[in-house]
Amino acid sequence: MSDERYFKERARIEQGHAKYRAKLTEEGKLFVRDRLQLLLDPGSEFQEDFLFARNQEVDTPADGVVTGVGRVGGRTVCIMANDYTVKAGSWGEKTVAKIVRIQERAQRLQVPLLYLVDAAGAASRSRSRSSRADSTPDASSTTRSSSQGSSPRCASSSDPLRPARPISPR
Amino acid sequence: MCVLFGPSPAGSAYLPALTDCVIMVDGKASLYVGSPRMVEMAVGEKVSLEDLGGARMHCSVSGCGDILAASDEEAIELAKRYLSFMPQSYKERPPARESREAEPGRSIEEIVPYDQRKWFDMYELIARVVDAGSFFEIKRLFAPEVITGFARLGGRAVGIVANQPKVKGGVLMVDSSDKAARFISLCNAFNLPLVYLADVPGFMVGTKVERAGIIRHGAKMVFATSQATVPKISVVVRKCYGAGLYAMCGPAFEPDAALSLPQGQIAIMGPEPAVNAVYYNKIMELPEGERAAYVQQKREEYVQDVDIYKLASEMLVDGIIAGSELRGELIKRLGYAESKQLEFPYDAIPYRRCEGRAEPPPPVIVIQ
Repeated sequence: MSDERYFKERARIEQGHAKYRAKLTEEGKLFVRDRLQLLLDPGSEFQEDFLFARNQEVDTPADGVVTGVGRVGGRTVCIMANDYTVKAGSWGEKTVAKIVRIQERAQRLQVPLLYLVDAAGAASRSRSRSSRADSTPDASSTTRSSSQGSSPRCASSSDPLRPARPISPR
Repeated sequence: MCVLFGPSPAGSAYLPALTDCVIMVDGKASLYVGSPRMVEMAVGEKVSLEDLGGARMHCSVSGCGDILAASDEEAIELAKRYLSFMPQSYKERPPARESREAEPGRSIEEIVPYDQRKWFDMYELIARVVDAGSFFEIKRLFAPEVITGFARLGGRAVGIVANQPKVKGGVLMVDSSDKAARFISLCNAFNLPLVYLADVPGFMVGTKVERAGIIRHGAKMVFATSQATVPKISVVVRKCYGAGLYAMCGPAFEPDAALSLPQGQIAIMGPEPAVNAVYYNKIMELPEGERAAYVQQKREEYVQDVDIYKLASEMLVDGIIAGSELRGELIKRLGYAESKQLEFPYDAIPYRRCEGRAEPPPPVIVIQ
């Protein structure tokens, strides 16, 4: 055994759902990781969390969301970015858990949190659960962390037809 | 901190013991409550000063000494190096240095075998991870199944807590728990982030260790880890069984990151004892000729079940990182963790500020 399996698996996940990459180009959209590359300071390293979430199923690379920490304009920023190639960016079983974790991380690190939104809502076929981490990120954690509000948050909606959900009263 | 060049007997023995780090000169420094003459008189034991309270004994058996120096000169040099990792006070961060590449050598992929039954040398892995020449070990000779020491990662000072599979398979013992607990508290007190490198079969079992208080000492390590608010990164290097992973800051302890090498395996216990524990009756019911094949099949199923990719899929670990990426990933994460703000719940309400404290009852005086 060697690290071969690891590198193969990582490469598979990092390209998103390969089947829908072409459709993305047709729609004139950028792939989530290309958006991140444009956003992040050149040469600064993006530190990704939970890349392997839901790797046991073939059609859910990273469960449709990229979360992690990087630098923008020299500042440390936590990022959540939907991957539209994975079930149109809809929220699957682990998507929500990943969002909650990056919200908590931004809070802990006292840094801004940036959402790059491109999501079709909650995935209808995902098992619905009642636990906090699995189904209700916005109701509790978003409200809590933005009302405790020590760091800025901003959402950029990549699709004008699907605006970002309001994250705090405006 | 204290550098001990000569004797420090009786009452003065507590002066070094109350410091964070004791450096002792081999063959010259000594620490004892009662001298050999007094020991002979009091308990009828004939012993040399070196065996009773010599530097080597304290650095390898009692744990009173942290670092054994060969000479006065080396002791002074070691004291300087210790200081270089320390901030001026607990209110500051330790000073950073310029980053240096790790020592070249075999890759981590080669060092850490995928075969869980093969051991490897954790020192070799540490050398591939930290800035070259920066590792400064504390208590090298004491309870060597756990390795503790300061190091630099990309120039930043960190504390390393690692299991040593080469010694007793890396199992946590009474002394090693104690050693790690104290080191973790030290790092937390002086704002040194903690990096745990875990390859641990669990805590030791058996009458001997139960009587010696393995649970009591193990709890110290678990406590120190959960109470530490500095950035903590836990790396599952290979096997992590049972409560061993708790002590090594596993995912349940909310470290800033719980990572695993692809070689990692997290489980309640290893496949051999697990299959034996769960299927014991079933195995015994089978005719003897069929047992081996059955056990083998169950072991394979078990290994599939605790596959690290499955655990990463469930988000039990934050990420899987190949050995070749480990150093870079740690530097990146430690960099981003610099702004971490976290207070231990009890730090927020200091005891003296608690209101409504009950008055103590008046002392009872008995007149005879």
